[in-house]
Amino acid sequence: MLNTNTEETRQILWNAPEAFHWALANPWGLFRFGLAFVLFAVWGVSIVLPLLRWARIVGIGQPENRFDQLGRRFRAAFLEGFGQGRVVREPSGIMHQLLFVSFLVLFIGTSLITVEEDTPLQFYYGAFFGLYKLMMDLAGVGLIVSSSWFLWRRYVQPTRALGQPAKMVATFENESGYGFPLVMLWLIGFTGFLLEGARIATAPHTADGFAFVGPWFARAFRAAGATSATHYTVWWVHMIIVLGFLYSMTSTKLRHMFIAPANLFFKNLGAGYERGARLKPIEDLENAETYGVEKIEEYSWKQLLDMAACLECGRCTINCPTVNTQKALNPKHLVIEQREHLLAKAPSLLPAGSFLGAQLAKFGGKTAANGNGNGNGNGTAAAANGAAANGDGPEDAATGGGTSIGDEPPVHELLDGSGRDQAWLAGADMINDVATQPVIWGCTTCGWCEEGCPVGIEHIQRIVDMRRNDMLMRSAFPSDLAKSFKATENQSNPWGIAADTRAKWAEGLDVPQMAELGEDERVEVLYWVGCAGSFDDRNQKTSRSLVKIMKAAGVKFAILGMEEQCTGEPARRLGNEYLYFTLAQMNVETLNRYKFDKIVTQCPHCFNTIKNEYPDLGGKFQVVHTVQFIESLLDAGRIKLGRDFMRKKLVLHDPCYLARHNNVHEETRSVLDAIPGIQRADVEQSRRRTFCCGAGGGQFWKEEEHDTARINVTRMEQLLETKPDTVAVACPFCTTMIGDAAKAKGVEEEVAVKDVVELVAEALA
Amino acid sequence: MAKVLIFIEHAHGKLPKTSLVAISAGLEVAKRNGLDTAAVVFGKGIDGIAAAAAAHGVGKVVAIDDAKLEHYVADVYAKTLAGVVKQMGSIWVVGAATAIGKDFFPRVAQLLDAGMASEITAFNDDGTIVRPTYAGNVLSTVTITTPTKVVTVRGTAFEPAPKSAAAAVEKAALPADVAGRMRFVSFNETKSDRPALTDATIVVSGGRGLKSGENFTTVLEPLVDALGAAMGASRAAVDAGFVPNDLQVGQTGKVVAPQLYVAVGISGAIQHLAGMKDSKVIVAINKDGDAPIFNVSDYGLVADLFKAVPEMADEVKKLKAH
Repeated sequence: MLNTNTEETRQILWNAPEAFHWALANPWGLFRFGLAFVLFAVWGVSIVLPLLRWARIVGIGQPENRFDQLGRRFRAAFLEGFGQGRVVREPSGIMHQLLFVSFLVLFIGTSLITVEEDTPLQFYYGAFFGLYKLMMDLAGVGLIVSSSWFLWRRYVQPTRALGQPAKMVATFENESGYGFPLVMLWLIGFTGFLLEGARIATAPHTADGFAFVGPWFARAFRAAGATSATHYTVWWVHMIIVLGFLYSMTSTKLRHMFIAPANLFFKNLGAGYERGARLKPIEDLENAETYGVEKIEEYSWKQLLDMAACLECGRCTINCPTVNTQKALNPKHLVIEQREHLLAKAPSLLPAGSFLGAQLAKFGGKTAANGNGNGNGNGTAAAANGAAANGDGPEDAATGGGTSIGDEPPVHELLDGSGRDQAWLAGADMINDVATQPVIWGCTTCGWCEEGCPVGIEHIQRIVDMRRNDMLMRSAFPSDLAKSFKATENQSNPWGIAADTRAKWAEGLDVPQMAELGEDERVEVLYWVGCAGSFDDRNQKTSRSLVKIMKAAGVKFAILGMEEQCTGEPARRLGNEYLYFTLAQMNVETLNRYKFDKIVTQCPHCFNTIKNEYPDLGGKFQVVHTVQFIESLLDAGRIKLGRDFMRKKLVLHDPCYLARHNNVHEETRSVLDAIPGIQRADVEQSRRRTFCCGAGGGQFWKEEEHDTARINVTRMEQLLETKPDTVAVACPFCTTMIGDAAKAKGVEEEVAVKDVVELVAEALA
Repeated sequence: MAKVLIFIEHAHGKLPKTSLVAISAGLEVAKRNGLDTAAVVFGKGIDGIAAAAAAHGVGKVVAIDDAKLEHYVADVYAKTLAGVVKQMGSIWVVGAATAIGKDFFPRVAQLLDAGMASEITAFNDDGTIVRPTYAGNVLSTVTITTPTKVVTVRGTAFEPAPKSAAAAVEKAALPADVAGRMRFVSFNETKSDRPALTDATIVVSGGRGLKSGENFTTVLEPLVDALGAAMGASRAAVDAGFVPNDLQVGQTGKVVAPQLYVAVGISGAIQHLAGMKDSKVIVAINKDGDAPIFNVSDYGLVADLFKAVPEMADEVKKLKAH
């Protein structure tokens, strides 16, 4: 409907090509809608096909229920996906938000013109038109500024986080998946302004509104003597770029517009602070015949979706302890290399013959194999067939499959210059060739990668799944660990100190043990000391301090003594699910026998496992960490802190399993702030952004990767920047690691490393 | 043509115990199945080894003396052994589960399209094979269904084959086409005149208290050598770069249980204690009387190690001189 209003506006589709005019003039609008329909249909197909391809690949994965708690899921997809709640956590997220909002404004603005033109609603004049032009110009500037900034950041001065791994296939997407859409976005903004300028300069009876960029271009066009023919050319250029952009959207990294919110919808809502605090139990452990993940197709569909969702932003690396100490493990590289392996292998895992199969063959850069059985024709012995499918499958499929669909696409080489290609990647052993052993065994499970990831990728489970396979199927694990496992089996602590000395630290302190209490006698607190607090001379001081605090507060408590065993946490994180299961089951049985209000742990690892993982084994207890417990004692006025620390300069090192995995960090601060005379500082890497001490994930029980910087020393250097005279910690393993780092830096005389519990005990009035 | 082929690994012109264990396993599987045996030796100038291998009950010894086999290279060895197996039509291929055996036996199995069982510990009467899995928690019983069967044997699983009458030694030529894609570059051995850390009856370890790597040489070594001991170190000393990683005693590193353990300038963090707590007699020298090492030591000396250790070394030398 043409606007007949006399107020300020512009003529829609002025000077558009003949086809449009002809369509417009058609009384039934048939061709016009026909044209729109064709353009839309082609767009739809171009968007949907790459997504369908990914959907089929993700479908290779094993079943896993991620359709529970739909309310929370929609919320996550809306707030963190559409609203980009996680994207804006880093400074570069602001630019992303600018690009997103600009794009959205331009998209809505352009759509409004359709509303004006094709519905009875009329608003495209006067004040609305003026403001509309202002908004569109602002968005155009936003688009150009943000896409320029991203191009600069990626190609002129790339940050460390943007570094790429070696095992990537040289495809269009891997080489230009970012550059192409960014250049297109920039060009859309720029040619949009050119078009606006050309229109203002050459169209009759047209208005500027509050446009502030277009008129500037218009002056240039007038000066150059532009005519309606100029406008016509610019119109076509702009139109072709826009369509090219729209049609390529899901074939480039812009696919994340769709996959990122989906991945956030399906993210882990498990125990702990929404991340890998709780590892997935192995189902039917006692009867299972394979453990962990050896081949990519053994991952769950969500773990494969993670690979599709990775945008390669590298935020997982910002506070990653291994990346920051130049170790082999880089979580971003791992997820990309696994994705590349998945893409290369997928054709041999999917049945072909369907329309989608044909599309897959085209997009996958490799002919679709029609199943292993067919490719290996004469295989009679199952074992021989299996062996062939393992190593030679892809080649067989390529040569012997017979029913190749469409043209044979070229086999791409890897970007690492090794001469290896996609076919190698397809046949590679995922654990040893794609991921590699130092990568798998380097992870401290500190959880930064999952905290930092804007799209909800789950790294820890994916790594532990490979460890489980290494540990339980291949017996391939760092040799040091065998000692700890044996020791844990025999003495129920990883050091192998005699189990009957577990309660020796408490001798002379009058600490009751649960087994000595009368039947049905209930205690307020069952104090879970943990192996470090029980056996390690250094951490026994913390245990004794807690006893002192509980006695001062008049808490009725008891310990388990010899009945306590390692929670199995390190074994579990190292993939020894069997050992974890044995220990955890015994501990749950022991705990279920006794009556207590809550469990207090001084070790965040015990805390996390009892709180988040024992429920899977029928152990549902109220568990608090010492800092939470002490905060409650202070709040209730049960203890008073009197001793003045005389302006002691203190910095807090947040333990990963407390602050990040369980979101407990303000309690620690409130306890420290209750101590008179403490000046508390924080480093940038604190609270949920804390930096690992290097002990988690079982790393404490094996040697750190040789010839690399030490994680604990790297962390200490961050803490020392606040020039503290005390580093407060809240985890026995952090105590040891940070204490060792103080010695390594030669500052053990000047900087004390103390558990929060020790500091509180010292301050007792 | 021998149906049971036993690969003999050797080092420094000697036959290690692991190779005798492999022979013993090979003889057992041959006896159970009524087959004949042969041992196969690779290397350059290996007459002595071949003769030694022949004196342990095998049917014969096949020696392939070739410059290409002088140094162990996985793919060359694998192709050579697979070639010998094919020539002889062997059914069983047996080797020791040593670093080398573990490295190239899977390659041999692959070249022969054979099933393989690694680190086996026993043969059963019903023809099945026992091997530990799940970090040694479970013993699994397996059967190899392929015509050719490849196994590696755990070094402690069988008694070493005893001496017996010498068998014939045959020289064989290198099979055709053993060229591989690997190349021998160099062999770097850590040379030490002292006993190996894990076997020593006396271990003297130094910690961060020694303050520098140089002091390990000038202060600690005289005591180590006077006692004829092995030298160890705490993790802190290794981390500080005083000594190489292979001296580390502790949870990570080596676990030792000598008759006498002397801890010098080591505070005794639990990580260290875990590696030496089973020592028979523990002596600690540390300037800090509160150091946790004194909780586990039988004899403790609170002293400046830079004074005490040289005096101690001198006393030991004097006593030994008598």
